[in-house]
Amino acid sequence: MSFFSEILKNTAALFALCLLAGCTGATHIKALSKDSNNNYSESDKLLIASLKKQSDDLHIELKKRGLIYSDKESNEYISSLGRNLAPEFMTGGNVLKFYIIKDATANAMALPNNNIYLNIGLLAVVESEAQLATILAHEISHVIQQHSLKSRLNRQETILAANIADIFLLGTGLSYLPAISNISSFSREQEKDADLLGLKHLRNAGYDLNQAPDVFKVFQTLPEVTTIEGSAYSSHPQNKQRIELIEKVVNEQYTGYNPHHKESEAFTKIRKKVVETHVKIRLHNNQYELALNTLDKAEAYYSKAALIQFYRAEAFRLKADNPRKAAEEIKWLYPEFQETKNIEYFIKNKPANYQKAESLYNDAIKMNPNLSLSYRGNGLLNYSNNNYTAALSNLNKYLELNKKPEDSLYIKRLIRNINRKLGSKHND
Amino acid sequence: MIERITKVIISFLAISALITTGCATTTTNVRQHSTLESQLIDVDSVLVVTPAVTIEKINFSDQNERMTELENDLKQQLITLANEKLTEKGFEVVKFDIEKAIEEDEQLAYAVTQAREGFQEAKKTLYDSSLTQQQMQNFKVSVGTAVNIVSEKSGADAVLLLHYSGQRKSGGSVAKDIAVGVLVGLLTGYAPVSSFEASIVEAAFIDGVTGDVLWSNIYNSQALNIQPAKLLMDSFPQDIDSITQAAPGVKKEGATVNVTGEDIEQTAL
Repeated sequence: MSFFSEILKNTAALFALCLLAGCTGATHIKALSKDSNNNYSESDKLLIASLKKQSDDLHIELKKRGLIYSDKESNEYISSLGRNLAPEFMTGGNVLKFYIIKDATANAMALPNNNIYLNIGLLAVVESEAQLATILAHEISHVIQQHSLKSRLNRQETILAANIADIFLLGTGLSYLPAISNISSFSREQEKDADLLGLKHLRNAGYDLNQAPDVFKVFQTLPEVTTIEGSAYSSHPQNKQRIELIEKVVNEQYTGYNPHHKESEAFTKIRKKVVETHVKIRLHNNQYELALNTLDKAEAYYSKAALIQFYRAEAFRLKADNPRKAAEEIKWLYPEFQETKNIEYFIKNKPANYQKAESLYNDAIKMNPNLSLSYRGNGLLNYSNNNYTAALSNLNKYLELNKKPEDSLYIKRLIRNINRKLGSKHND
Repeated sequence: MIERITKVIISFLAISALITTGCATTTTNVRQHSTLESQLIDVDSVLVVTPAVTIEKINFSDQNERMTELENDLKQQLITLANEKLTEKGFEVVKFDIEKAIEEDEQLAYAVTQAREGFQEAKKTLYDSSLTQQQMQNFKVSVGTAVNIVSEKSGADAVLLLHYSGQRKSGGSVAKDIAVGVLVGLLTGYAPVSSFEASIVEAAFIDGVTGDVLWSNIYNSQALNIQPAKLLMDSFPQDIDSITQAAPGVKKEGATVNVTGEDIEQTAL
């Protein structure tokens, strides 16, 4: 035992030293500025080139996967908002580029190649242009402060140190646990920096700073906030601290500041545009509760009431079709209900969910008799319930109203199956 | 305290040994749709979607590198293999430049992504560890009807998705493993040896109309070449035309097919 204790003692000492060494890096990296003269070492230059290449590759990958939202008007709006917030030296040429991604989570990211990405899920939840600008200003600050480079350098050194310690811990991987927490604590510091520097950019562009903490209040109301890993906006306690800090800084450091920025109509227009895509992604991801949540919020600004009812109906129909997925979502969002709202609960509630869906589809049809999608929904619902005659009538109506549906092959196959079933019934 | 830490480390070593032993064996994971034969009646042509290939060199630092040359090489080999295997099994491989089409058509690119994501989600059900042998050969899972767009644009009845991911350890990483192995060997008399390279190949054969996963297979291997994919594709189903010849009772379109449970799963939008 004494031999083993000796090893452990020495390992602990080495481990501590290694981790301390890992915490010291990247202090030489300066923020970008108008007349910045960053004397990068050769190894830093290589790392910068490598990070930029990785970022460029990621962008190509996003594009290849069709994940970049290509609506021209939305992209121009985001870019002009971003350029208005960025300091002058960052706006010339193509220094900063802004994109929207088809991702339903409320998140944004800045890459080392100066690309800033906003998720559709973020655009769907922010309530004002000033709130959206707060996020953009935060991401721009990450770019200016070169946070990616700094954290990569720190991470590299920490991982190297942890790797050495890991050898002495016999490859157990135990040393990585503190290394990981070290990385995340550093990130929180950077997030705080970006929040505070973001306020300066907001002030320079004339935004109402009192709206800056509001965006974090919005995040706190989202059901999925505590469950998304890796999002800067996902932690409840972190958001609470951020709100307090931002409010304090605004009250203490920006007294007497008069905002002059006026909300543009374009904000509401873009929000309306993205909300349908947002709901579709949620439903594709089997996130029925989250889709319903988005629809409840959209009711305040989205004028197409029939479409809202249709998507609500879809959420209930899919819940009934996929009880396992519905239960998984509840377990993910509300672990406290996983015992009561489990798969058996959703199986038992199938008829009720179908009934709810049918009633909502019919509401949508009443509001807009030409909304072909509602007939599709009703047809699929009838099919699930073995009501083939009604299914046939609804699906045919869908094809009649929608001349070029994306899923014509699927619907035609269903109709063929229904005809076979009805034919065999008649033959019986 | 020391005893507690010792216990923790010994537990970790035991788990590591189990994992290492577990990884040393190659396993196949074939899953088949519950009504595969009746579904295959509607499938004559297949589109091979450009395989997603990711090979990483694991370095001692966290700066892992993509091995793009090997990735491209494996991608080509996978396409050739899939074309040969599908033809051998009696299917027509659709000539459609999906890569070019994806570059020009965002909707198609997104549909392929949704199909891939759909399969990743379907895998949770298909490869649920609680499945019985019977359930493995008798499931009904859909990736969603987004795949309709792929079928419509390419003219194929079904699509084949392939995913190859692999890694090769750098000299530094191997040296670290050896150092750990030596230390563990000194203490326990057992030295775990993890492999220098490894790969996982996944294939999903999807009905282009319903989005149903007709067949899927996953193959883990300690080789970083085309061989695991060859073994994986060996269990690819035979086209129904061949079965028709063997069993004259089953006919193509319009004929009576006495197969139960023909309904289309509606997990899609």
